[in-house]
Amino acid sequence: MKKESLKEFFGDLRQHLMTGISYMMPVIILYALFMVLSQIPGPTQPMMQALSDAGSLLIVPVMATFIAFSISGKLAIAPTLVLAMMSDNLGMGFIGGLIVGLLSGYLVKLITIFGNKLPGGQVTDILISFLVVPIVVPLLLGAFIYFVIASPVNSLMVNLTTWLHNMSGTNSVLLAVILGAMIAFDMGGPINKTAFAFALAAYTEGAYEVSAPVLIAISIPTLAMALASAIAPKKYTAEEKYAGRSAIVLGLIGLTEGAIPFAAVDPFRVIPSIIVGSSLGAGLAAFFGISNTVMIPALIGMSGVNKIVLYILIHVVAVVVTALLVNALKKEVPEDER
Amino acid sequence: MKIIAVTSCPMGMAHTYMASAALKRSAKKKGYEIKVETQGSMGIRDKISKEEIQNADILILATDVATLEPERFKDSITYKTTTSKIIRNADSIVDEAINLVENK
Repeated sequence: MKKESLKEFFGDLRQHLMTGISYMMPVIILYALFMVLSQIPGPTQPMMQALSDAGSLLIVPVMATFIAFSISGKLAIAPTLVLAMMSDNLGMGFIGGLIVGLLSGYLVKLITIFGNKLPGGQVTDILISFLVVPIVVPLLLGAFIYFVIASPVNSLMVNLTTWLHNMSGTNSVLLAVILGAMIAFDMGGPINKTAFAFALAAYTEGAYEVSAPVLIAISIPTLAMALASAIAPKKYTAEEKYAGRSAIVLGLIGLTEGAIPFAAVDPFRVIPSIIVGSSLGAGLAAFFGISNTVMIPALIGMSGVNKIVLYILIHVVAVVVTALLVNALKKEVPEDER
Repeated sequence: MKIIAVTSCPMGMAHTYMASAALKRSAKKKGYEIKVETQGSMGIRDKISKEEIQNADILILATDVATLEPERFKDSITYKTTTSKIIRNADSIVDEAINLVENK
């Protein structure tokens, strides 16, 4: 295979992984909310529990399936769903899901490319889509996963989980500060999503005190810019003030993207300020041991927080500090632009 | 010059629509006709029709996650980019895409 066609075969790896995360997020939200609802005693408790249990089983399989879907389309769904369910049952967790999704996606793609070169037209299509892919793929990969990678990945996950759970004091604060800075750095871009994926991995392994600071870091830039543009109207253009008003809503539902209009106009003052704010928020959260059983930032995420008053206080402190910092750096804009 | 574009991002809530708005603004400024399809958390919106695909000169594909119904665009001249790049600088993305057609 030539270099060019090899590149075409593997495609955009980031896009494949992001597709997996994109389809997994609604499942996580469903799982997390019903887990919170299942804490409420009463006749509905077992039902809520059943819903959240079913949701939790599907998080990793859905991610793996849509990684594979991004690589090779519809054909990859059935084998990947089943293989990822198996790998998750074998304790391979989030990392196992990534591996299974990629392996299965690329294997199916290889088979499709090969199949398209074979003669036989419709007969070949039927053979491939109803025999080869649903039987050979699970058989080959199933054996590889079960006999070769299950135990190393499982022990890797166990070690990782233990490490995440045992991380305390300076280490956990340092990790939170770095992840917080990454969240603010490109506001929803690749670096932000890398930090978010790390938090997701921690979350799916039950390390809620590692994921919670990242969630806090997410809403700070947007809320801070909303506050900053409201308290110093002379330093923002009319367009920015308009963006500031919609940023309140974006911040409350937890979208870092609300800060983009501000950073686009004035990156060298805005981005450092929001990095400070998000790292501060995340660092404080780790320091005070905030955990969140709901993988959602801001208001809705409040339902799963262990120390709710501190959670709100940390948001307020980080938002105010960021807003004051960015306004101290910013200069007034000409009067006709306000 | 007729442009068609598809935007999508992982969460399907912010970047998808910001990139769509930025493309429309930029195309309007430059006097190009544009249709943007968004593939956000609510699925496909403003779907690009078969006719629009046939009549378009260039497709700007800004899908950060797997494109939905990609087989529609298999014959289109495609400029591949990301929503972040468009939000940062839609004007130069539109210029580069137009260059791609004019150099063919």
